[in-house]
Amino acid sequence: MRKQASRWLLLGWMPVSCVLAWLFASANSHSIYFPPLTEIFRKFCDIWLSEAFVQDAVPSLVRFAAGMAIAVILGLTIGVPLGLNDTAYRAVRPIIDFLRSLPKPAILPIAIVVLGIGWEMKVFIIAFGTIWPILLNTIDGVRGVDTGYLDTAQAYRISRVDRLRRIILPAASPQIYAGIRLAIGIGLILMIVSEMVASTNGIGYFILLAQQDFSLTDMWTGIILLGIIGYLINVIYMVFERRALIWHRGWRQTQTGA
Amino acid sequence: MLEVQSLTKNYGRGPDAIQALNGLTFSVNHGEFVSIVGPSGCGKTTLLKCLSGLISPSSGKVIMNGDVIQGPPAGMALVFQEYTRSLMPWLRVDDNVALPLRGKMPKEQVGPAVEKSLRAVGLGSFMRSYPWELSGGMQQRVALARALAYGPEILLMDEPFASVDAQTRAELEDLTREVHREYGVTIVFVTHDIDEAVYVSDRVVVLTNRPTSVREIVGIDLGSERDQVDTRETGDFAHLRAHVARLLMSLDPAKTHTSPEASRSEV
Repeated sequence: MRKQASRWLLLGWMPVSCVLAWLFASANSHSIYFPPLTEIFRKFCDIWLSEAFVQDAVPSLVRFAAGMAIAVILGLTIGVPLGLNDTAYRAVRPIIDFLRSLPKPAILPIAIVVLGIGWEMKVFIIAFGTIWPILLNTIDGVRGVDTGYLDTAQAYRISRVDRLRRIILPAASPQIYAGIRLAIGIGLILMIVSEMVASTNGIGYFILLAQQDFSLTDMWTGIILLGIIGYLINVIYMVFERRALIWHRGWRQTQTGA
Repeated sequence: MLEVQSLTKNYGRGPDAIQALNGLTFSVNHGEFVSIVGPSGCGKTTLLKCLSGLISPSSGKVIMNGDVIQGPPAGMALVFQEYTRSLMPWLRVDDNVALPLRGKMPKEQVGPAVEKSLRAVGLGSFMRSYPWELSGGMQQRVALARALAYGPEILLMDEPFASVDAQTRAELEDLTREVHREYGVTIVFVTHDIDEAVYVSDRVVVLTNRPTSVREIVGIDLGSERDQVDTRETGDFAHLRAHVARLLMSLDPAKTHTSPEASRSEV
């Protein structure tokens, strides 16, 4: 019980003190740039607990999810064969290295010209930006599968499908999950950037519009919402990853202990 | 049932080629327990990989039930030395044992087959554990159970007990002899431990140093009932052990000169 309490204390003291500090420091603020936190909070409830959430937050999240889904599916279907075939991997490695090093917002102008300013462009940008860590980690994970597992599969005449689904993919999964975790951060950035450059809705669009209208309190609510969404997505993913890789943590402990 | 004919394996080509196996010939009869011993680095694992069809020989052949082996044959199961690299850490014990059975027997038979073989190795109550939650000896039992559930005619074991402690090792040797009898499976057992080879098997194939060939095949006439203490105490056991040890030692003149006891069980 006491251990639990001290854990929460350690975890929570910082956010709580920051919010309190902001609250007190801004309490009687007349600055238009830094309105009182109570005012921001009141506006936050007004704006985001109504249809603005459906109008702006939901489209952002749907595009983020769609882009990530495409990146995961493509990353796996391209990454697994490349991980299994050394020649193919070395043949395409330079182009992969080039594309992944390219700062992703650089392709926004051409994406807008080709795909317009609708959801297609945004989903494309998110998918294009997030596929690289997933692809590279999948390739690495598959290449690194212990030959002991593969010898076992061969000796026991395990079918190709089972070899892929029950040996290669699980063996590579710790790295694949790590790649997706990296991709989530990139995806959130591109979600907002694509909306700030060209959009008619979305959280990024909302923040930019509020700034241009000089409704700076509204703008602050958008920033806070983004922070909360980003944090929640990461927490949810980490719980999911932890559960999926429960074997990996236990196994790794025995490996380092031995 | 298993015939090895002039088996040769070279790594590389031309003058730099390394000859790992040099014309090995021997055979293993149905239901027999045959050990293969040889000096360290003599290519025992290469031999086993050729026997199992994981690699193909440079010349010569391995024949199982009249068919030349050209890839892992059905009816042959393997127990590897490194259990941590052959048991899947993401699968629980029963799923590890079931994995090779998928698609090879009707679904409703898989469960009972898995349970039966895990019980046979004394792990009936660890079916839902992960392999890495178990001790080394228990993990090797899981590997043995997986091999047995596969229903093989021939069981190949590659230094299976090299990385467990002496006490566990003795238990596993007896367990292996027990399942050999109960399942009527033919066993080819590779080891570097002379005592172990003599204790467990019906015949011992002694290999030479590289390039490896068969030095001698020693019949082990110790009866079918063996006991870790009593059998090892007998004069017959001591003589056989010494005989195999001399075969191995004479290959290494340095050791014979300095001290005859230098190479005890580990060669």
